[in-house]
Amino acid sequence: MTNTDDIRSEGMSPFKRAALVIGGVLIAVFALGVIVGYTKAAIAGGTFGWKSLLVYVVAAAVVLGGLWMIRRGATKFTLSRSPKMREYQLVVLGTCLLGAVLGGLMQLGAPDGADAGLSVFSYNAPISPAVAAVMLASLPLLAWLYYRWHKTADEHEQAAYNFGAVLGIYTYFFASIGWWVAWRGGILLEPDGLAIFWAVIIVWSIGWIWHRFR
Amino acid sequence: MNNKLKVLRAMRNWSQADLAEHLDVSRQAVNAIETGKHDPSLPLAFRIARLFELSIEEIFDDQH
Repeated sequence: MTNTDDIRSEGMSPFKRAALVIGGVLIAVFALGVIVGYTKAAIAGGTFGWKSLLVYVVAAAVVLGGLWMIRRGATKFTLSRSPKMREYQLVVLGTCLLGAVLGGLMQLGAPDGADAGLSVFSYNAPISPAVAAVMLASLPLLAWLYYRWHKTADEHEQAAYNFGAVLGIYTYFFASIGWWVAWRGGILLEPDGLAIFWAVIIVWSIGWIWHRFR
Repeated sequence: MNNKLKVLRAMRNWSQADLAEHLDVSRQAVNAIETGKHDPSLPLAFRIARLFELSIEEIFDDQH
């Protein structure tokens, strides 16, 4: 109750904090994916050796680096006393948790191979039908979480979301038209819908986060 | 838009998080309003005015 300038008092801008936390999460998840993928590939190929130890040490160091970034950027997290904001926080946490579980499932369902650890990013790699079925079955839950998010997010958050969405739709417009014209002119390969999808998501997220924490 | 939110909050010895809970918004929303990066909607402006028992014009000023 006594700190009346709590945003600036901790010496780091909110945007920098958010960037540290998000960057830390991405780095830690990526390194964990490498560990899982490498282990699967090594078991399948019977190639455990001293190189494996090196991979694990480096990957573990990267995971620790990601956790350090999260620790550095995260402020003390407490659930709000406001029921609406508390539901909003729980919905965000639930969505993150579901995303992490689905990301892990996708890793486990990826084909064995030397690059299996990177299969999250090779988005056209096949996954097992069981994993695909579980992921499809989770979509209604994801839709419900999004619905609750829109019902509980405050107007500042909604404005940030909408700002990112406008950047995303322009990214979609220019990337799809530009790539399509370039393809017809023989300059680029055939447009890849998923590559454009990821570009839209990344631009949208950057715009959203920037607007929220600037 | 200029506003006296930070002064009013300080007079009650509230943190941004405290005010956010009174208004049902996030701490970032309070910070954005205080620093003029977000103009509140009319319903939120009325909630703020009622909370501090002032009129909207006494808190917000669109004259720069």
